[in-house]
Amino acid sequence: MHFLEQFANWKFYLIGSYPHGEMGGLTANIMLAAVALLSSSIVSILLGYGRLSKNKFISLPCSWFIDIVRSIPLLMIVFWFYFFLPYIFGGHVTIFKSAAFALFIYASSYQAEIVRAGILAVPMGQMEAAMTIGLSKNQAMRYIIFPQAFKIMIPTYVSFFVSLFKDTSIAYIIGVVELTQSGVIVSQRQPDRIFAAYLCVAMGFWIVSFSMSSLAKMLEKRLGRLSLESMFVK
Amino acid sequence: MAITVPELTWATQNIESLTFRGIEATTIATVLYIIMSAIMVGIILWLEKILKIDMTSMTKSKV
Repeated sequence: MHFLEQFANWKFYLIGSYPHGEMGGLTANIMLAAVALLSSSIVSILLGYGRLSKNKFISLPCSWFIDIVRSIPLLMIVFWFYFFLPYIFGGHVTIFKSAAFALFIYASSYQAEIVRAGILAVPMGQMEAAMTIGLSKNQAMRYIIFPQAFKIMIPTYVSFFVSLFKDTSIAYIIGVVELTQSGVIVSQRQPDRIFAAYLCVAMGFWIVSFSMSSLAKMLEKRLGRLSLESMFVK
Repeated sequence: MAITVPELTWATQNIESLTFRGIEATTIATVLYIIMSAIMVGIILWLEKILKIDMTSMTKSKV
């Protein structure tokens, strides 16, 4: 079995050539996804809430940004941040940083739509009820609307994180040694075992994605359904 | 692009390797992508407008 022999390369698939070089392999995928998710979750709340703003000077730039980023492919965003923005503004950016930044921009615009949908999904009566008991609009947003919106957002948010983790494999195209790239390197070194190498890559992605999506199911059972039941079913 | 299917992104990389004018090619490709998705969004919004069910008229007709 060629496939079982591939397990001799497990260290390269998991951390790349780390002690002697840059961190790579599956760890790079997870790091890219984590960096992009953590930074974008803050910016996406601002963008999504800004898009709902009644002030045109806030809502129009937010919706332009979201629409433009959402309408160009992720590959194009990665190209822009790696090849052209350093060229225009000068300076040198490492591949890992530019891939993380491109994924951050991509994730923040997609999550902004999740945030907007979550805020809009809270029934209008909640806002009206909050206003009648004398809360200001900001207080109502902070104490009434946002906590409920977050509970609605959680399932979508986690499934987006799983898909973002899979999208980190696009960093392969600019040369980050993540899991796909390490599979390519192994298959180039042993050209007769291409199938086994890519099978290992697929297994690495599957293990992480499957464990995340089953975690999401548990979370959904505990949080999502409970909050929705308490909100809509009397 | 990654498996060299000759689509738009591949074409920009090809133009860059032939003429060394990457920024111009990528800008045009980005604008083309934005136009294409804007057209699609327009079609979907038009469909949404056509297929919208007017809830108020439905309840009135039942009463």
